[in-house]
Amino acid sequence: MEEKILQQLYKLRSVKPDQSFVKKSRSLILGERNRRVFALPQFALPRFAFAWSGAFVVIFLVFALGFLPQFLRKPSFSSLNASNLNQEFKNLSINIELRELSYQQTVSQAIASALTEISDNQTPHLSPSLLEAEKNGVNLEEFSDPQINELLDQIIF
Amino acid sequence: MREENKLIDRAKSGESKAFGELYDKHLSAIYRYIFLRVGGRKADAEDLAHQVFLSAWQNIKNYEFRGFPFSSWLYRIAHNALIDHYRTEKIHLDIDKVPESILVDSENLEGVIDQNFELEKVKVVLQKLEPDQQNVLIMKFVNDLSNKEIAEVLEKSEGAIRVIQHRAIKRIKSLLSAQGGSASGGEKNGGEDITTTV
Repeated sequence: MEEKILQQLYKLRSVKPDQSFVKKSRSLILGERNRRVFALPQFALPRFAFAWSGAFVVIFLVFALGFLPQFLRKPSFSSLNASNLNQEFKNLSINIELRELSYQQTVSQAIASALTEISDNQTPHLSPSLLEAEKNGVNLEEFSDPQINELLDQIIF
Repeated sequence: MREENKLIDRAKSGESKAFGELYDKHLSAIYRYIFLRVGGRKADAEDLAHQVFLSAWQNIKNYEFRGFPFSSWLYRIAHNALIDHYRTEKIHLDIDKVPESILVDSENLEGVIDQNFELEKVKVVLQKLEPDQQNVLIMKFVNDLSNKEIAEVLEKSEGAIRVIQHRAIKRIKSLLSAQGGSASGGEKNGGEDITTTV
């Protein structure tokens, strides 16, 4: 019986794959390796994966240690500081008030001066004799301009 | 052997043509081993055989000669692939018919039918054995590996391989006796019945 069993097992040596499968599988396998070889440069191969991951970790640590103190520090923008802003606002209102006060003083002085001059008959530049003397001293012919005269005639008449 | 070593060296350096020659040389044996281990399911056998050679090609740079032929390395990849296959896939209990395309030297239709019938019975018997018993019988009596090579592939001692072989034969005899048949029998009792002509 054992001999018969072995004889039947020997017959299984006739099992073979389909030729269509062989061709397809063969081309796929060899093509796969070629794609891998040509698609990936040497530095992208798996054996460099550890080196790459190490390099990225080092770069990350350098950046992290470099920028960490700045992230932990309080904001130092003077324009965003509340106390500075308050001081600026206070100074601003005072400056505005002082400037307005100075302007009003100047205007008051000018108005007072003008009223004084108008009401004062003794003011030299309003004296009739002085004006008459100045009129005689002015040579109107010397500065006459025909165009100006023409324009003045149009306005007046 | 020396010629094969040259092919391996060339394949290790990335020469696809060299690996193609190794593929042509070893595919049939590896396919046969897988085909019988998956119960004759052609689609599974083709998928696994493809995976085995794809893995071999992708990892051939890691191959080192350790006193065993290159085929031992391929058998080990196939063995591991089968373990993964049975770990993840549902085990099919039905046995497919052996397609005629896998048979060679069939001179006439009657001969083909007889051969199919006998092979079918052998496959049924094999499926009833333990995985290691199947491995040993297929590798030794179908693919003609030595006990030393089988021991290397299965990572067992040669003594253990002899014991497994002995138990496998004994188990087959026991199965046949349980069916109550004889060498001249031929009765069938359903899809998984075994006749005593095996």
